[in-house]
Amino acid sequence: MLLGYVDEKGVRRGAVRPAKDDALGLESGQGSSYRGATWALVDVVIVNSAGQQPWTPREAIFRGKRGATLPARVVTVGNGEIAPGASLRVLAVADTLPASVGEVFALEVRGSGGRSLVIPGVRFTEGDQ
Amino acid sequence: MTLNLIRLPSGTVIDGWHVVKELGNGGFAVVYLVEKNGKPHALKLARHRDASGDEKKTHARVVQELAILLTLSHPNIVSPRGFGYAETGNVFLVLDYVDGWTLGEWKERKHPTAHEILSVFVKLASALAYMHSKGILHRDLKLENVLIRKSDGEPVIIDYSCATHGHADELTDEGLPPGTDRFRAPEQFRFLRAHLDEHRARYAFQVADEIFALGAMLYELLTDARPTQHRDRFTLNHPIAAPLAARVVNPRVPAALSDLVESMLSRDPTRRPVDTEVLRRELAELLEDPGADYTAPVHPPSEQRQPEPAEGGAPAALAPKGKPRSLRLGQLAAGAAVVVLAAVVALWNVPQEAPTPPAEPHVAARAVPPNVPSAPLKTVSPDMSAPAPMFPGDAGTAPAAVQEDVSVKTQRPEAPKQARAGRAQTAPTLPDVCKGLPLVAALAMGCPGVQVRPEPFTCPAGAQEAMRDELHWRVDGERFQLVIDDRKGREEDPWFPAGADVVGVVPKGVTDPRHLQVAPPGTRFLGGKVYLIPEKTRDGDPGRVVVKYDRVKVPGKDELPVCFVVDLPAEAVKDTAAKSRNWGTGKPVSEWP
Repeated sequence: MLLGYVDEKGVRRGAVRPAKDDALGLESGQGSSYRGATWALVDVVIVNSAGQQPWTPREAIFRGKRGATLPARVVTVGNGEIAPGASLRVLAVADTLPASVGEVFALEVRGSGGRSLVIPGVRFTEGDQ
Repeated sequence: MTLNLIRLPSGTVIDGWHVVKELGNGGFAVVYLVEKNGKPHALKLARHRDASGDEKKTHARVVQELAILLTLSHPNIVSPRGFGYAETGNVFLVLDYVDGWTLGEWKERKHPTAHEILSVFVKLASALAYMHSKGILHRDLKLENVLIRKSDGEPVIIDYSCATHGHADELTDEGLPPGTDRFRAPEQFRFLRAHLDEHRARYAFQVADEIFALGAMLYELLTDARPTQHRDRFTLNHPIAAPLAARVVNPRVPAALSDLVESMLSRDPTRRPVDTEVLRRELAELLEDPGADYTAPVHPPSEQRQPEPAEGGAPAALAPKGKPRSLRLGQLAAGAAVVVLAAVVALWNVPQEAPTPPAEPHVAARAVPPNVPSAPLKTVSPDMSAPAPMFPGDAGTAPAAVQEDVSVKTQRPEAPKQARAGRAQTAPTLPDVCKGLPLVAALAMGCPGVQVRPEPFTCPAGAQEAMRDELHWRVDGERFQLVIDDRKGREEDPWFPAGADVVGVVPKGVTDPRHLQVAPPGTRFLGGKVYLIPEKTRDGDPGRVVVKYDRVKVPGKDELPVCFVVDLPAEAVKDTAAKSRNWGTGKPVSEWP
């Protein structure tokens, strides 16, 4: 509260739908989104398909349907590399929020080898599904 | 890395065999029409080389099929003509090319009499008796795997890719051998339910299974004017309820023939004809019957006019219909078989041409059209309200509750507490026979208004306690990855029929330390039940698939009650089934939604 991360509105949670990019061999499961007073966060599991190169997510960006973009940090456990056939829990954290956050975002998680996964339909304000 | 075979264009030459065109394309192999010295043959090429990436053992299957066919020589069994390796290293098998119709197509085109059908089945029984005497089982007998040769009308059994002999390596690691659900004997499903938790349990396929499958084929020819049409049908292998006698569905079926089919389809394998030689004699005896009812077409030709082309989007769409077809793969239906609903959840639709619709309670289950709110749906069994029983005798809907000796008179289990006032418990019009049955059985019994949608529920205290104190899970606070139905691959996008029983498993490759600690790979989610919400989501999906598991087996721990829910967007919805990914994340919950 003192640092301003949470205010009286608390933290709101939304659902994140699964996404898949067959061509790039990346897939995410159902996840959750959270929004506090000044930040937004998405929590998903990403799988790097067997047969692909190892993949390390490096940065993320939220793109709003109405044009707003939010750069985001990627937070993972360990060195963050996903071996082929393995999965990793990935958090994408945006430290700033634009005025209107009640919109739908596509979250692009960019990583090594020029491969990235786009997770559409990210909302920060509504209940699960 | 696996080598996925690229489709070969016509004109390609494989080891001297000139490819004319592709005939069929299945999970294990691709079949081509080929020519050598001007003579047509069918060439079956394994999908993979004999390499570590050949997870489906496609190489071994083709080799085993070849080995089996080389030991057989019978006029009604397809003959091998050679084998070798393509340049890519994939093994191939060359077979006699049978220019003919599948049994179903033959039925629709030739309007056969009972006598003619019997004549075919005497030959099939003779071929099976010959095979069985050598210890070989086909294991995928169905209408598509028997061709009637156009030139002489002889039936030929094809596709031995599922076949096995006494000394063969079992190529399926667990559960049931590959095959087609509609033609599986009911005891196979009983076995699956009884061994849900035993990963390595393997069903011992027997001659009685083969007789059941042949009975199912005969039943279809006798009762269905258009057996090639793709639509929901009565399930033939329900664990309790036998299908209506062929003669009840179609009065043109001679009584003695109807009785014989009934005995072939008996729930109790010991009551079927003891072997295929006995069966052959019984069929042959009927063939001698001079009765007039044996010499009339079993369906009037007017009922068998070629149907309109199937509407697009049917999940079970197979190869093009209505054309004479040559040898094709049983595995063509690999994906479709899932949709030809596993026996226990198959919807029973009274065949449209049934002249005497059966009396209640065998009324047709009405399939829910996609995207239509399921207002008429009523709750048969409040599955989502309580975990399924961990012990036989408890009220509930776990697979274990579907027992052979379940009386259809059983009273409905007491309704467990509901979290919220919902649509639940409002089924006043259901026949009593339906009320007492678990969902799965009710579906298969054709009870009307069967539950497709999940009901809101509160997780029982015992399960919440187990999740919190024994498993150290954060209820409502974390997610675990799983393969939703462990019978299917992680990468598959299977059709999930509402009411189906599934077991989920945490796959390899999990790296999250907490996940590894509290739900490591190999953790099995048991008692999974599939539900469907056939309403368009705000993201444009045609619906959602919800799976609720009620027990978990973490390696090294006892089986514990849980409430674990997976909620996935559906890619497609068709009647009471939805297509969705087989991998996702689910969460332990205290209540749902």
